[in-house]
Amino acid sequence: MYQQALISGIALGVAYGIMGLGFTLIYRSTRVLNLAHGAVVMGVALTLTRWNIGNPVVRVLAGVALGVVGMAVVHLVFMRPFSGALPITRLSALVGAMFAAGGIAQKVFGTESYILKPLAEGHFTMPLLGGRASTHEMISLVGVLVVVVALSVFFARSLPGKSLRAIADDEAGARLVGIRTEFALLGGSMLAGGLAGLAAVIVAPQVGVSFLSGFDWTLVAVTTAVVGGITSEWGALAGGLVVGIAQGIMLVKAPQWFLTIEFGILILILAFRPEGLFGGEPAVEGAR
Amino acid sequence: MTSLLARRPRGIGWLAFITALVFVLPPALGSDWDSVGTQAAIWAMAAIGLDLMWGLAGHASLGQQGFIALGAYAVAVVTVKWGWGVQAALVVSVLVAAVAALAIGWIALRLKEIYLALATLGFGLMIPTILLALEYTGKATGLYGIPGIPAGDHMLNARQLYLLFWGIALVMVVLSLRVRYSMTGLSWRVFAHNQDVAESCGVNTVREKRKAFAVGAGLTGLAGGLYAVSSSAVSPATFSLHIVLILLVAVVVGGKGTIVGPVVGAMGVSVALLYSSKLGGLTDVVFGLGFVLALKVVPGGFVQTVQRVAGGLRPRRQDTAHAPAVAPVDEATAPAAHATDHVRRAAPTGDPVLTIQGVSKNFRGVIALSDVGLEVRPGEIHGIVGPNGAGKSTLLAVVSGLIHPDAGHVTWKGQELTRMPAWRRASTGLARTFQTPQLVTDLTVRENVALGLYMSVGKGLVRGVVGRERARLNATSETVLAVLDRLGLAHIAELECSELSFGQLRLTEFARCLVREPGLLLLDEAASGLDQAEKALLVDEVRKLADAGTTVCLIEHDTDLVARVCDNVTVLDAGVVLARGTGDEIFRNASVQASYMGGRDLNGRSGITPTADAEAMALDAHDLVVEGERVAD
Repeated sequence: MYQQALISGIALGVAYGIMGLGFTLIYRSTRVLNLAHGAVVMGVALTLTRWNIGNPVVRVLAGVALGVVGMAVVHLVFMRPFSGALPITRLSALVGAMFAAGGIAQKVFGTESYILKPLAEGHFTMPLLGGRASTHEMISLVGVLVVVVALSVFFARSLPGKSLRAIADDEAGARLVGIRTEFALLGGSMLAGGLAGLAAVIVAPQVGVSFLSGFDWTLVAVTTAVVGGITSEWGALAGGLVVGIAQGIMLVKAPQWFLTIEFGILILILAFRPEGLFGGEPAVEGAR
Repeated sequence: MTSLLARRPRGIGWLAFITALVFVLPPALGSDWDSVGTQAAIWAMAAIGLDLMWGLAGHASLGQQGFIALGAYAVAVVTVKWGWGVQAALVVSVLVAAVAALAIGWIALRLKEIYLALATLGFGLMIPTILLALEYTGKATGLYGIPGIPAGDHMLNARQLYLLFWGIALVMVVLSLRVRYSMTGLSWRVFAHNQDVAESCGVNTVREKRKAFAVGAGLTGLAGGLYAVSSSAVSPATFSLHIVLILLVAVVVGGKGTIVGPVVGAMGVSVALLYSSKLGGLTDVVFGLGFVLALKVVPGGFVQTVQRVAGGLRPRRQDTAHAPAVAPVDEATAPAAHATDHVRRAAPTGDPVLTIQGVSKNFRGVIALSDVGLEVRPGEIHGIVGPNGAGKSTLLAVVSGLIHPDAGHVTWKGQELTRMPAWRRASTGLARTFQTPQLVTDLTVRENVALGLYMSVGKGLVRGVVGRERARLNATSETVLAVLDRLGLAHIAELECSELSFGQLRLTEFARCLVREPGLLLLDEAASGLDQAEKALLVDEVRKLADAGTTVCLIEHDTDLVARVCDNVTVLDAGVVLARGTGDEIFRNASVQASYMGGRDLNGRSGITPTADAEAMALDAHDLVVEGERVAD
């Protein structure tokens, strides 16, 4: 019983982790909590259910491409025009984006829930743990691990990665040393969009997608990122696993508390460990 | 005499406008509109709640549906399950929401603003999921059979309910406007923009934020309670995230921070909601995009835009009516001002009142202060000089409590200040200015200066709303105007600080300290950016203060001014005390010249023997270590 809860929790957690990852990526460069992240994941997932692409590789690539385009639109319409505004104004603009996306999705796709085709068919019994996992989930886990490693290298080593970190630290300073910040920030958002597309092909086969999913997934991304410490790649993945496993257990023990536990974790972390479980920047004001 | 905080509190005209709309329009349109109007009243109350939290106190909540749900379910449980009367139930709805806000506030108000928004987002989404899961509240079905409001032997009908709800909403508007124009409201509007300024004027920002949060949530809870009464049933699905968007739209489109704006916004939103049902699923698109557009195009909102347009049509009285009280002194007459202040005061005597001992501060490995000691006597004007990055401003921040030192002590009049929160230091007579003038740009000069009186004016929230605070404010506004007049700022008293020159900003900040008649005045870069006339004014005022017994510490790069004004001077360099003495001694000291003036003294000579050795000047360190401690609580 609990093995199955653990396995489905990990499977959920991997999907949550990749959502949290895209969310932290934008926060790292722009200091904006991108409440439209889930909306992009939803948009990609819904579009893919319509396109019905047979080849899983093509589907992943199409998802990534859609995500890149979608997040670029979010960036240009809802982020850049507010780049000088107060953090809370910038956040509010993305609340507007979240609702606009949900509304458009409802108009185009109706209120039904769709299941996206998995990356691969079939199930198998997990060695050691026992309990059954799907091939889709295993592929996802491996894929996400590869992405996380690649991203940590990207931020630690590559010039674009370092530029994004520099902009996060001091945007004016970054501009002075010759970084084209507007360009770099758009690039960062598009990278996050790619991750959103990836999240869509992973999560939509597991839990389905409807016009309401954008809200759910944004909150998942927020919670995951906060649990993991909002500026860390590995933290985002670990945060996703914490939330996923907690929900996996709830699904078995007390399904009516499935959503409550997610918000409860968010509030508890903010209350007792606002810098996240795995380190990250301090969230407390005034400590100098 | 006009009131302290505004010549004529804005909002009275709008209040009349809203009242007229409420009591003329829907009755004229017919009874179909009663329920729309009742809904609008509920939205208006919730919008006022959000405006108090966000518009005044600067903390946006994205979880208002949680407070509304708590208020609504409180009424439902108390009336249906416990059989209490509706009136008592409504009181409970306010209390439940306020207590929830205090809990959220306890958790999240110490976090950065953006994390607070996340915590409220989580809270607002969590409440309906709990209600959905609980047997006691009827799970997805919710609770029904909530009684209406009794009037004699029958219940209020739809029209009466409409009038009652708007009556309550209008009372709420009046009370909230009174909060806005009270000293408490002013302090909220200041810390919303600048916490350090509020703390340095004596505002306990943590407590005040909690208060604002609880009051705003309480009103929102009441809106929820009244919703339950009007609809006679509650269920969890009602309290979705859409409520947040609708309230954000009402507040932003109406005019954030104006109280009346969000009410007008709520009316507009209610009508829009009525017609948007024809749009089908596009309601969210229209609201979402419309909201973003409003944020970008009219960030001040409807009310402020109308005021601005109307204000633009009228000539600006303040600009022309008063001639400057002090005519700008041109360069030719400036030396005269210098000549008069060249008379040396007798050096202050008496035991030191301000003692700084062994203060050290380290910012992630960068040593800002290392074992710094300083003693200042009552009525002394003490200059602190040194090159950029010497630790001067850090030292002032340690004395004013905005930074806690890693080691050392600060005592003032025998009181240990070292660990005292910044806001409490204001009550010991401490006042300060900042290196870059810190003023709230969208408040007027008069309002900015008025915060200086925070400690002396009755500042309780309740007193501000129901008491006769306004009378006291009127009396003290004389003080503000007198000080502005002395500094030649009377003619700009009603201008917003965004319109001032740098020198005027600096003097305005100085005025905010002056109105308090401080015992210890800390001036960071006291005169930089001032012209000759303004400098003369400042010097004059600082001298008067010192003669009256105020102890003054000032940081200043104009060595000539420091030499003329200061009784004693301390030189900091790279976080250590390099030299100390009278101005004349100091500026002839070779090591000072080396570090500060590139090896040349004031007359261009160089190579004079140091009068004091930096090592010998430093006091003993006290091994007090304070690490990672929060500054304000």
